[in-house]
Amino acid sequence: MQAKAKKPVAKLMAYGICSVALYAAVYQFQDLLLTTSARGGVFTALPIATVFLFSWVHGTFAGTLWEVLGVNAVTKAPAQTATRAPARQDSRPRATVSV
Amino acid sequence: MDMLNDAARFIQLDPAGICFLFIVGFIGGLVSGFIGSGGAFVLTPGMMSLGVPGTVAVASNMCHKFPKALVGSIKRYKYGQVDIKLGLYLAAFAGIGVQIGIKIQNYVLNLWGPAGSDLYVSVSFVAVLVVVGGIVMRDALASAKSCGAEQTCSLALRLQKIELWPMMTFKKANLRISMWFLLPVGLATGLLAATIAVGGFVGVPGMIYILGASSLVASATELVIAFVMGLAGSVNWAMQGMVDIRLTLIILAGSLLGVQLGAIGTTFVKEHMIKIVMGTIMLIVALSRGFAMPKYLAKLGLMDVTPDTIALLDKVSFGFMVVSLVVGAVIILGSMFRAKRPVAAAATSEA
Repeated sequence: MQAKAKKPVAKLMAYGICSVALYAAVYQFQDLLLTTSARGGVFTALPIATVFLFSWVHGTFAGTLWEVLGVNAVTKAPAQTATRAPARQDSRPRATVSV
Repeated sequence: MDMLNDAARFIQLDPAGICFLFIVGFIGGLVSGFIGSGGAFVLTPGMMSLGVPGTVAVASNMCHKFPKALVGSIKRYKYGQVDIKLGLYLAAFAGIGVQIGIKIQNYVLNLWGPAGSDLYVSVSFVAVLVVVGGIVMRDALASAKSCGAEQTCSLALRLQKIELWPMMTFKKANLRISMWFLLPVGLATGLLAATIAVGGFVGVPGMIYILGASSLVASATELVIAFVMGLAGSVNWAMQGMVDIRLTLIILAGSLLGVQLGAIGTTFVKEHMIKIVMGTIMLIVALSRGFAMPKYLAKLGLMDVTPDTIALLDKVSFGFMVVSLVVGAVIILGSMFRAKRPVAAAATSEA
């Protein structure tokens, strides 16, 4: 962990403002959104696209928020299981067949 | 579309309801980010308690689950914990499991009616969660006592040695196993998802104890399965116009914060903590569903219970569901805090 790493405050602000703007837009146009998504059929794309947009904007904001607050991952090594067979004891080369 | 139906389908939201959904979304996200699943089961009854019709509650809940799983899986992929190939294969098999689960549900519904169907769901809930939750909890406690590195289950090691075509290799999970052992895990995940809506309660233990993945990889890969299945389910519900996008987005506001915190948490706690949280939640939820069973037994005429008692048991059942999530969140945050202290102290001394 680097104690003096620069925190992405500008990124947090940008995505935070975008996130608030998106939520404000949903609040403002909620009736239109609800009636359009309630139609189903081809309008299925509306709620699905909306949640993808929010997961990008608000998701980036949320991730950056934890980073700015200093809650960072401390281990990035991949988890491995102990499933491998024991190492081969015999150091001689394996027999191979060329076809 | 009939406007009257729309008005009945989509409720007016008040600040208290919005706060409730945000907080439950956050806690649910935290649990999902940490154990891969199990964070959303409180939301459907929670939304219904606000007056949301059942189908809209299920649809809106599912529509928030897949973006949450997407964000969580991306985060955990960055930590090297996700096996995408394993997740996609299991998701494909789980899709078949969902179809089988729906067929069984319809068969039970035709045979015993709605009360019988509810009873079947509750019995499945209790049986699966007690058995699987008990195994997970016992293993977690044994791992906590030994304090060593996580050991692969002996059953998984035996299955991995069976060379049954087609053999499949999963590099990130570091395992090679026959597709025929992958299939039942995926099917069971889908079957449970169609029955009790939380397939991960079988998917994650299945990956750990049958396939031989570590709990970190299993819980992270479950998020891929949740994304694929959640997206397919959400498209299905959205085509019927059942998604209340406002509810979905409010829950998402909390859960995207929670899921990333949970994902971060997995990087600085011991692996057995994932099993402890999962086992604890599963056993408390089993208890919760146990309290709901007398209602269905009474409807089938198999038990004599007063309406007041049923109303009380319903509240107790919902209370235990909430408690399970809160207990899970407290264990996660507590273990993160404990694990973070030595790291923070080391960083301070280095500076």
